[in-house]
Amino acid sequence: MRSGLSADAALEDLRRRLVRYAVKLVWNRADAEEIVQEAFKIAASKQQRVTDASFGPWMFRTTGNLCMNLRRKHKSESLSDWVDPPHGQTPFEAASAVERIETLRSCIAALPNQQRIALTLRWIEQFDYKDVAIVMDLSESAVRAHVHQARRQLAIAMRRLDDA
Amino acid sequence: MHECEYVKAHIDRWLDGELEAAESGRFESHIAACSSCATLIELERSISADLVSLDGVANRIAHEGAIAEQAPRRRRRAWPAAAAIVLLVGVGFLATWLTNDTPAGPDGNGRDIVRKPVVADPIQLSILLPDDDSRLSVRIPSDDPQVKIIWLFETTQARSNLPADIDVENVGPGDAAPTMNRS
Repeated sequence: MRSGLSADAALEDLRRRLVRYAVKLVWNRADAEEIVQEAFKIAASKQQRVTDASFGPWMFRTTGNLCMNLRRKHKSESLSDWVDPPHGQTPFEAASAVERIETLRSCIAALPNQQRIALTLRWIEQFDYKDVAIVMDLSESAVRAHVHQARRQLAIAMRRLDDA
Repeated sequence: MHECEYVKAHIDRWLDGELEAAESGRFESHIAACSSCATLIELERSISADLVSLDGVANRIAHEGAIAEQAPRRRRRAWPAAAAIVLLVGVGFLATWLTNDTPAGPDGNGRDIVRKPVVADPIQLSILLPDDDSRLSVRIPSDDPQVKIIWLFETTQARSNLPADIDVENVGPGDAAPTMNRS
């Protein structure tokens, strides 16, 4: 929980962060919202205390697990609707940029679950390794290994795209 | 350790800015001299940049969900409108059939039996296409004030594609729901 916020505001802040995180795993806002709601229901059923320092990491872990086990109700968003091409790019360059990001997303989605979560938390959510380790309930070295493996897979996929 | 192997082994720590000054110096002096490792580093940098872009896109999807729900609607095909028109034409035929007196043949006394219409008045359907071409709705009047039937169809059907004999009225934002008139 972030300090300096009232309990309600802190919970809402956490909920928004969880939705953002879930979107990065399932790429659909409706699914992400449902997953986070489910995570809060599980927390309530397990009588997790929102004031505990472990509550936030526990919620991230539960949300991540739910995302991995999601039976999809909605399609992933098409990123071309959401990527703002930088000014000055030609349409071809803009299309290439979207293709790169779509390829990257597909490649991340195809990673083993642990690698996918570790990479998302470290390089997309920008958590440091220590916090990723807490969320994933793994050692820091195990997280580093997962992230390393994930990045090598991405590098192979992106090199293929560049060579094509 | 061969310098190329050294770069590959330390690339994550270098990306994370965790190399000591001496390690970083060794790392960077090699990539300045080795085109193969320089290409590798360039690729890793572009992946990091793309991951940041992906983060921005995801945050936009999370924050602008309302737009996310609207955007696909604009891309939907015209088939719902076509289905709506087929349905309305069907209702028109049904209404015509119900409102026409239909000879049903002679009764036992030699007099013709005329099947009485279920609906007394002919029905004129009005199709109303909102200017934002996002929705088509038709309200079906009912003799029972407790019963309301409203058909809603999302549509991107171009107004010009409608059959000429379909009555189209303009509906601006906020106008009352369209109604079906009896004449």
